[in-house]
Amino acid sequence: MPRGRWFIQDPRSCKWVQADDTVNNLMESAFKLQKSTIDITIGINEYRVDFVKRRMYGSSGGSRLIRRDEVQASNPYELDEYANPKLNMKEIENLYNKCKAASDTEEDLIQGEGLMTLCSELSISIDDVSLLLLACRIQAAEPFKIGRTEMIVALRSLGIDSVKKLKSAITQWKNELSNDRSFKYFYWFAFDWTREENSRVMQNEAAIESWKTLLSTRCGKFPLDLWCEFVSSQYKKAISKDAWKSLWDFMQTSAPDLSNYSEDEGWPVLMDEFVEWAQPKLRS
Amino acid sequence: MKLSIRPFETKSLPGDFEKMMWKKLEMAVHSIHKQEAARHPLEELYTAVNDLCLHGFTDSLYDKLEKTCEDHIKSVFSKLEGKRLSGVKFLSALSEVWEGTCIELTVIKTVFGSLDRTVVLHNSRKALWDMGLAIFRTIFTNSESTKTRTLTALLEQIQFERQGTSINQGLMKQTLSMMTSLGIYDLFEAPFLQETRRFYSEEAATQLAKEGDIGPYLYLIQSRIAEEGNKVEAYLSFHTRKQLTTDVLQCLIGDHAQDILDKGFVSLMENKKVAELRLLYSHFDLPGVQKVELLKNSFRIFVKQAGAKKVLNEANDSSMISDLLVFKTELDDVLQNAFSGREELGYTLRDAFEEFINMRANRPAELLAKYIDSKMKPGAKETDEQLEPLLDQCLDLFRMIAAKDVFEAFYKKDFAKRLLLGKCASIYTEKVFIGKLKAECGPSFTSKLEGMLKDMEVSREVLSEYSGEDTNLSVQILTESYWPTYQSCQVLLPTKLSTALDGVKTFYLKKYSGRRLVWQTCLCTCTVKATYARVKKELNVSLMQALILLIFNNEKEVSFAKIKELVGTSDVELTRSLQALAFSNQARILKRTVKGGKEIADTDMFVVNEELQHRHYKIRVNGIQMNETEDEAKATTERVFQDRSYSIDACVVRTMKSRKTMSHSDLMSTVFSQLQFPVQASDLKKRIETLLERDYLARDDRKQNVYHYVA
Repeated sequence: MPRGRWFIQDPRSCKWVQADDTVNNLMESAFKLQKSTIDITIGINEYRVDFVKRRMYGSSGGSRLIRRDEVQASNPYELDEYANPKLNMKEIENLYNKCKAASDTEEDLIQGEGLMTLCSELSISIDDVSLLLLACRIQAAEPFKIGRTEMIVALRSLGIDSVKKLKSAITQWKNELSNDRSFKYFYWFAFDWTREENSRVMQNEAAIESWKTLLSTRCGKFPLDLWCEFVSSQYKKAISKDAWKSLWDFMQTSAPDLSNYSEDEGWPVLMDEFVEWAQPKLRS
Repeated sequence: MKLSIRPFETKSLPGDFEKMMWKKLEMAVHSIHKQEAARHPLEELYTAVNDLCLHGFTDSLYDKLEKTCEDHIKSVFSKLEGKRLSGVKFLSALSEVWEGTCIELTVIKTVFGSLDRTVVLHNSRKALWDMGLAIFRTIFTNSESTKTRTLTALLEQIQFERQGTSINQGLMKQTLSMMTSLGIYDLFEAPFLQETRRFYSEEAATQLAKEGDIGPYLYLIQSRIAEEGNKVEAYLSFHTRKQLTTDVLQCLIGDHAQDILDKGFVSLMENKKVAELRLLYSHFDLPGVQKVELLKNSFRIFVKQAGAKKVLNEANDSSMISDLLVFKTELDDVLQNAFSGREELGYTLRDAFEEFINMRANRPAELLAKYIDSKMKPGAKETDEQLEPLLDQCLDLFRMIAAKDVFEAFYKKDFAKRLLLGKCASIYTEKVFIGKLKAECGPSFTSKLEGMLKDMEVSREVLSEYSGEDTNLSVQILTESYWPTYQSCQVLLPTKLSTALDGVKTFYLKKYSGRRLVWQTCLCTCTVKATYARVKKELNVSLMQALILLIFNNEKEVSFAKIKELVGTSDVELTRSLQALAFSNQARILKRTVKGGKEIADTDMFVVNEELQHRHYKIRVNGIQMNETEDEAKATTERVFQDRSYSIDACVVRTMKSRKTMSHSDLMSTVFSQLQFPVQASDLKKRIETLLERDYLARDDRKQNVYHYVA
């Protein structure tokens, strides 16, 4: 089920006002769990929300209409945590425990060796983007680590309750990558997965590696080699998330000889410097 | 009775009535043409005409008269051509002919009066006068040679006049009014204008090709315009005036406006020739010319170039501000007197001034602050009345400088020093100036300055209640946040001094509990009484130097290391103070026993210089430098730049917070307009990047150049 956005009608002006995030989450979770009413507190006032009657009743007696709009999230990897609440995730849990055992850590994570185990269980190569895809779908929070709740909740919301389903899902996801939009968000996630722990930036070398792996097939006429050369020899600083993300749009919108670049469009300074350095080379 | 009415008896005219009458009249006309008296008295002739008209012979009479006149005028003309005159002589002959014709026609008109009336009313023929003129005109225009000779002669005369010879203006007038009456003035006008244009274009070209100043040319233009005006008054027809003026202006000024400016404008401005400039402006402003735009351009270029020379010449720094003030006054003068204060030129002046003064990013601001500082101290040569307009001019310069925060930083520092060391010539002037700055830039700009002033007053009030034992001690207790930060240097104070200071401290803390007081020792001054063998002197020194000198009360010769130990301060500070005492050129109070360079080693020994010679009783040792060192100035500038990046950040966040979503270009332009100092686009971009990294802003997912505010 796609996400929902809740709106409350102001009784005096009859305008629909968007409920703020906390209220929205409360209402959404209750709705997904198929409850009929829920009591919530906004500020100092208490209200009872009735999903059947589609009204919100205040403590002093008034009531307001509520409505729910279904919103397609722009990020195709965003998860709907409340979907499929009754799914049996036993098999997945077993898989998780196996991998956790392999990763020698006290925390409830799969990491290091555990990732290798996971890959062999799912018959995917660790060098492949498949692992990255899986992490992306799970929306793993920390680089090269997968947590228990993360994995289980994510896979449950996607309706995957067995290893077989997971394997086929992985192949399906790979095919979806040919869609530009999915790839963009996947590429953005790649930054979070390959950056250093506790750091907001990615090291130069790691970035270049990742770019070569991920983007070489998709860069079109964009001079990706020149870009990597520039970053390793001239720029030499760590890559920020903003620069990483912007590279995708930069690739899509630039002319092959970078002639349509404009400094006033707000590209990160990294792009400015690259264009300045690369344009004479491209012209010759 | 039969009444019968009988018609009148018609008298029949004699058969040759007409012939006889006409014979009489013809003779009369001939004599008129010969300008002789007529045989028959005029009255008889008049009656004859009248009779003829009554009896219906008007037409034939008219035709016969016309023919006679025509023949006569033809003969006159051929006589004129036969004379083969040219030039002035021709003109005067022609003029005579014309005059004669006019007189004759008048007489004929009188005699043939009734014919005139009858003919015009009943038969719609021309009146006799007009008939005469028409004849004259036809004959004149049909004779090519007469025409050409007339025109040539007229133009020749005009040419002579323009070249300076005086001509017979009366003759010109007569000829031209003849042509006007004949209605053939256009024949003259077109070639005349053409000739005018040719003449003046030539003149303009020759004048401009000449070397030298443009001044004479401007005066020439003025005289020419006057001349041509006179011509119109004197003999030209008045409706030539407009076209003539336009043409003259066009040829002399309009076509060559840019050349005039290129040639002479700069030298006029440089030599401040206000009269010539005024002339130039008035010429350019004439309705026929309207080339003030070009003047504006040249003006702007001149101001920019001359100003840039003054500003960019680094060797000139010490006098830059006074030069600029003088320059501005001169320009204002020119603007008022020469250009009659025209608004557009005023704006041009301001723009050009702003452009060049900001060519050198921060130096003018710094120098301006220093200049004002020098004027506010005692020892400035201006009186109070002179000072206020001078400060107004400085404020004018300030308005045009972009780097206002640099000015603020330097001004604040200097102001603090002035207040602390009691070097303000007049507190009133200071207050007035701060008020002006406030009106200019808003209260946030001057809040610290006002704070400093108030601090001094408050401190004086509070401490007036302190009745300590030591009346030679003068203390100020100030709020740290208003004042610039100073280095704190530790010293070991002698007991007497420290007890006195403690006394003040206790008094203050009793009054206002919960405040922290820190003594700023490096700004303190002391007066030390020195008794030499033959003289007594008073030495005005810094606190540290005083402590050093006091050591010599107990010992004759002290080493550097010992001094350091006794005074209890750092090497650097001590070295500086000692250098001022021992190596100064004006008054060497201490002597080093061993010769050496500027550096002081630990083992160097110092003694009091017994042979101190100085004119004055009070000697001041330059311990705390009133004027900044290079390093201090650089440090201040650095700090200003750092503050700038904070201001930029704050501005960006503030803008985003109010607007929530903005595109990149919008954000850049809004921030640029809000900042009080010049900033590069690339710097601003870098600050936005850092804010992005720190999650104050976020980019839009779909649109690359749109930012969102992150709460």
